[in-house]
Formats: sequence, C-alpha cells, structure tokens
Amino acid sequence: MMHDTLPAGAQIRRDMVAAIPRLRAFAVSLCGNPDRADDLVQETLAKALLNIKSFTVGTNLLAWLFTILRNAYYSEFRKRRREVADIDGSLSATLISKANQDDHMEYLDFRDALQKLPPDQREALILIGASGLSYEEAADICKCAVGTMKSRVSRARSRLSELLQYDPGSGQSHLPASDPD
Amino acid sequence: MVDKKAPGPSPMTPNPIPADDSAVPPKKRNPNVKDHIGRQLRALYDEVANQPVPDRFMELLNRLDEKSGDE
Repeated sequence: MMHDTLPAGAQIRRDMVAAIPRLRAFAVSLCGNPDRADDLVQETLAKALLNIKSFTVGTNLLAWLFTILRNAYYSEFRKRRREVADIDGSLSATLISKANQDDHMEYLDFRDALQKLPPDQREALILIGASGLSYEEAADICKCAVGTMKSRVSRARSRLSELLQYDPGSGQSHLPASDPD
Repeated sequence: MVDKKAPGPSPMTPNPIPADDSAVPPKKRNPNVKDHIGRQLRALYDEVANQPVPDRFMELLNRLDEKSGDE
C-alpha cells in the first residue's frame, strides 16, 4: 500500500512554483506596481503554505492562489487607500525614451487607464482577458455570479475605450501634458 | 517594466497607405478598441508572466517547506 505524503506535497509545491509567473502577472496588472506586486505574491505564497491543508487536492490550485492574492490585495488596498502615490507619473518620467515614445506612451496610457477602472472591473478584465481563465473560474475567484463577471468585463472594456480614445469633449485628459502650448 | 513586445505596426490600418511618413495614422485612434485593449492587456500581463521566477520566491518556499516539515 502506498503512503503518499510526499507525492501530494511535492506535486502541490511544483504546481505552486509553476503558478508564480502568473501570480506575478496578475498582481502587477491588479496593482500597477511591480514591487508591490511581488510583495503581494510573497504574501500569497506564505499564506498558501500556511493554509495548505484547506486546499483540496485535485482542484484548481491556480484559482485558489489567485483567490488568496486577491484577498491580500483588497486588504492592502483598504489599508493604503490614503497613500495612493503617483506611481505612473513618476515611472513614465523615467521610462520614456524618444525612440519608442509613441509605443511607450501608449503602453503607459494603457496602464494608467487600467488603474483608473474600479477594482472589480479591472480584476475581471485581467482574469478573463489576460490570464485566460474561464468566466466560471473567474466568477468563482471573485465570488460572484458568472453573469456579474461578464458584465464587469464588458463595463471594463467600455470604460477603457472611453479612457483610451481621448475624447476631446471630455476636457479632462489623463495624458501627461506633452505640448504645454 | 521597461521593455515590452511592441505590438508593432498595426496590420489593422483600414486602407493601404503609401509609404509616406506624413500619412501614418495616429495609433491611438485605433478603431478596433476591444482588440487593442486585449493586446495591451496581454502585453502587460505576458511581460511579467514570461519572466523567470525571482529567487526570493524559491527561497521563501524552501524556508516555509522546512518549517512545515517540522509538524
């Protein structure tokens, strides 16, 4: 008879390591800051290992880890709400090179716009549009109905479209002023 | 976060424009916004997802493994 303490644990650990890149990507897209993102991932891994007994072997480890990361993000979010720094502003100042300024501006504009979405819409869009989860998995992670998830993704896309099309009528541009005249 | 796979010249330019710098349409007016959003989102995500796992995480896992091994 097989005693399988090692195999199960080893498998989970391997899956956990394999999940790290996607956890990092999820975290960066969610919070918009690479350093904070890695702190979130670290917290996620620590919590996951502490609570590994509550993970049901055979279920979706990635979804479970995303859930933990998401909870960590929101509790962090509540704590830090008052000190939202101009992360994108300072970053864009350092990163722009003339050679690819257009592409780069576009990229920063996108990141900026993404961070302007309400968090529930942002995470919905990331889970569905970038991390390749199904609506069912994403709804499970966000503890909402599948229909709610669909509508969040749709609203996220509409809002981003508005933000990225720079409607001249809107007056208040989120773009860094490139032409002071 | 510095570099990324640039989406490159968009193949979606609606009408073929002769090689003339002055005729390059502004990228930001991309008509297919949903597609544009998808590409930007994946560029942001994949840029990080394709990076190797930083050592700090492997070290963390090893440390925590040792701890939980004591149980």
